[in-house]
Amino acid sequence: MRSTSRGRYAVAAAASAALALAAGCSSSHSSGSKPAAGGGSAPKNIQFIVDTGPGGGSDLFARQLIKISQADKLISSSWPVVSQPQGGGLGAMAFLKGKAGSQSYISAFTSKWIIAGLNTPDAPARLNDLTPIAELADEVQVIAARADAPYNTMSEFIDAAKAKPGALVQTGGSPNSVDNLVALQIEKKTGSSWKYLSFSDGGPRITALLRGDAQIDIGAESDFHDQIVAGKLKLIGAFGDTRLPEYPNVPTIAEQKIDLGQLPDQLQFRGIAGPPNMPASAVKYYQDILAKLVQSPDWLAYLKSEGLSSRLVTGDQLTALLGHFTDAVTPLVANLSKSG
Amino acid sequence: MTALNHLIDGLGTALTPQNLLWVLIGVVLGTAVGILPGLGSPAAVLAVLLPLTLRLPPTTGLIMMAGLYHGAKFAGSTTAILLNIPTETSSIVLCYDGHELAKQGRAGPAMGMSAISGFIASTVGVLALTFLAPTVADFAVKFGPPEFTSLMVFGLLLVITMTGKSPVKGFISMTVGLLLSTVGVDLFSGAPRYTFGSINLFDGVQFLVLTLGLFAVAEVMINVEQKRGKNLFTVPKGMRQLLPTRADLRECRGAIAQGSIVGFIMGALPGGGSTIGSFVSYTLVKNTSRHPEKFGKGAMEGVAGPEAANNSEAGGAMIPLLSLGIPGNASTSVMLAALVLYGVQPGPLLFTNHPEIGWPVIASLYLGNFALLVLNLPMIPLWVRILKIPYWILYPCILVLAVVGAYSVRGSMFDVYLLVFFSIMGYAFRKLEIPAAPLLMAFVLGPQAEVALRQSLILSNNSPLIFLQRPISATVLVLALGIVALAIFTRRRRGSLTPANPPAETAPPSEETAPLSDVPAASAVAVAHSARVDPPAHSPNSNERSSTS
Repeated sequence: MRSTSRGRYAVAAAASAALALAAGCSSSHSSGSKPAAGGGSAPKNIQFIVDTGPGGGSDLFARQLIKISQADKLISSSWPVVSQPQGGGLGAMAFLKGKAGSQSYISAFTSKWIIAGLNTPDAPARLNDLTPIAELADEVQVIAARADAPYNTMSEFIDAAKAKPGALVQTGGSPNSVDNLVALQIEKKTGSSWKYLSFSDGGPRITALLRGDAQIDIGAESDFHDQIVAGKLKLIGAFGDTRLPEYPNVPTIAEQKIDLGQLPDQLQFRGIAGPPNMPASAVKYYQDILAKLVQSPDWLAYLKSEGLSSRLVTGDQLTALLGHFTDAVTPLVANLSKSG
Repeated sequence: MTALNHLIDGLGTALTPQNLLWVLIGVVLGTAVGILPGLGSPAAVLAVLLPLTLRLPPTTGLIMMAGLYHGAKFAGSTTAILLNIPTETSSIVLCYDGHELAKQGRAGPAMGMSAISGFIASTVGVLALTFLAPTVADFAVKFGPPEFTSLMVFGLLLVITMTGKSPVKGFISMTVGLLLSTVGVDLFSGAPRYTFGSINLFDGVQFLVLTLGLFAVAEVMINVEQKRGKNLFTVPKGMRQLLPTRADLRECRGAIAQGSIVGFIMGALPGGGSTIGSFVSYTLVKNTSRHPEKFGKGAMEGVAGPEAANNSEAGGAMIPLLSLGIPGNASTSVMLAALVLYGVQPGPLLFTNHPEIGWPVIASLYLGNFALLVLNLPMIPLWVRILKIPYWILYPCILVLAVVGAYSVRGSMFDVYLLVFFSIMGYAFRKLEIPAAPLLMAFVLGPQAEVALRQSLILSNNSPLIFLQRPISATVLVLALGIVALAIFTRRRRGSLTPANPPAETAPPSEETAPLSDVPAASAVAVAHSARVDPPAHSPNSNERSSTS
């Protein structure tokens, strides 16, 4: 038995090596300017566009989506994942805009793409130029602090920030990220102020908390999970309608009576979009696959492991959701570019 | 002694015939793929081959990845030594002495030294990781923005001290590198800088495009215009000349030891990485060598030290990854991705929750290095044969690889045009005898320096005293001063070798510090930079920032 399993690995490895090479070749061929033909038949030679490099968030999301769809026989061939990392979503959106009318390109968008489009005055493309296909998942955002911090809730942190304006520090990514925008909103609504310390990677944000250079960090629960279990960090709030099942003692932002104004609790979401004017038949083709995917136990298990909750939204509801989010962040982004 | 027992258990788990087979396959594949520019960096190789390893059981997959990692790293050193193309940042230093050695017909010994010093350093790295991980992890957490700023000041000063004949030209080269590194979207304001409205420049200039133009294509251009038919390399004859001699090894003992320690420490800092480790090691070795005059003209120690640092770094980089779940560099980021895909979350609990993964990972890193030594020492004669390829075949091949490599980074024609631009720049630099390596180093270090400086000043409400109030930061600054003093001293001692009068080389920076006397004179470079190019740079690698999970 052992030898057969070894043999199987060897074959699998050889096959996947060949696949990887073939995928590499085909992606470099067709990522040229040749637009794929749109037509009535099911989409062929589908390519999955992501805005991060290999190993980045959207890249892994797309690869898992393809892997599980394939395992569940929802799709017959693997879709190559093509990275268009320029400008955090701008490059991917511009790439899709150039494929207008095609049915063979889809992309994994995040709420960040909306902000990227708003923040760049002459953005080559915006999310509302594209054809939204579905929203797939929400990433529940939580607020973490060092385990020995003197505040156990976000409202206590806000009180501390009011006592010493501009002294406390929140760490996070670029100032255009949702975690900064939501902080700016809270500061405005509560009349408090604190500093924002940018790090391009997630790791140094956690060490900044551990070191005491920063007091809070907004992110996904999975970012902090191990440090929480190890007793180094704690959660002081969660965005969402209900408390997290794993953290029944951590009150939601709404329970803490913190007003987010127009901003929804769902700050980080992931979805799938196609090029402008994607044929309705193609949109339906992808929606059918995704509707089956969200039933898959493997998919739900994957989402759970990443701290994502499944939420399939399509059609008018999706348009409304994206529109609402855009309206909520627009004034915040505008303030940002004025002050920055 | 429990750590040692665990390591031995780990080795036991890792040492199955199946795993050994996969680690060998990994090393061969890693080297083969890594030799191609464009796929050259270990991180890119790991990412490309990640799907392949995921079909294997976790331990085997990770062991194979370790093989790939080491194979790709060795490939980076190989292209730097043989062809003067550093495909990853940590092999830039090898272009100084490694390529010089190759030109003198000592390519084989240089590559052998790279593999041997790498193996020794890797041993040191794995042992240090096994015994010192908790201590070093605590230290790494204490390393915040002010500490990094001081470290970058240190690094940029080192760039100046190693500029060779003309410090002024070295300084020019470094300034151009700092300027180029400012292109892109600023992390702190989100504002695009020097992008001319093109989203192709939003993420800055790609390192590989810059390197290929500045080194590979420029090298071809310079050589083509020389007399035809002339041999560029002295091609060695016979096996004996293909490996380092006993004398070489004896000469390099100190360099390997220094490199191993420096590399390990730098690797352990989150975001530290092997680039600065190899720079620091090169300068340390140069300044403590008995033959500093040989550096830049083919010193074996100039290969041994940085390569040792480059390899012990892998051990160091596993510390933040395994103990904090924080990747130290691009390659460990991919390892992290692999661990997560296997359902293993690295972090403070990895060794408690998944001892069956944690220790074999460490053991497999070591095995990967061993496999590299065993496989590649006999392969060196084959690699060196590249030099025997006539130029009319080799040069078109290099040009094709350079164009394909530049294109494949992001699948963008824009990068190919940039390649042409940097090739012309590289050619001009050669003609004007401006060294290109300081440019590349400044390009790599500049953004890190800027980000850390601005983060520190945000923390301190713009008070520069923060760099002296934090003990580690202050210590690093004092060390930086020491290095400068040492460099000036050694330069004076062999004054006949310096064409410019020695005081001139340090005077301009210290004058520029005066108005901003926040930091000791040692930091002149960083300060001068931020004064000139305001607002300065942000790192081009914004992948992580943009990801939501």
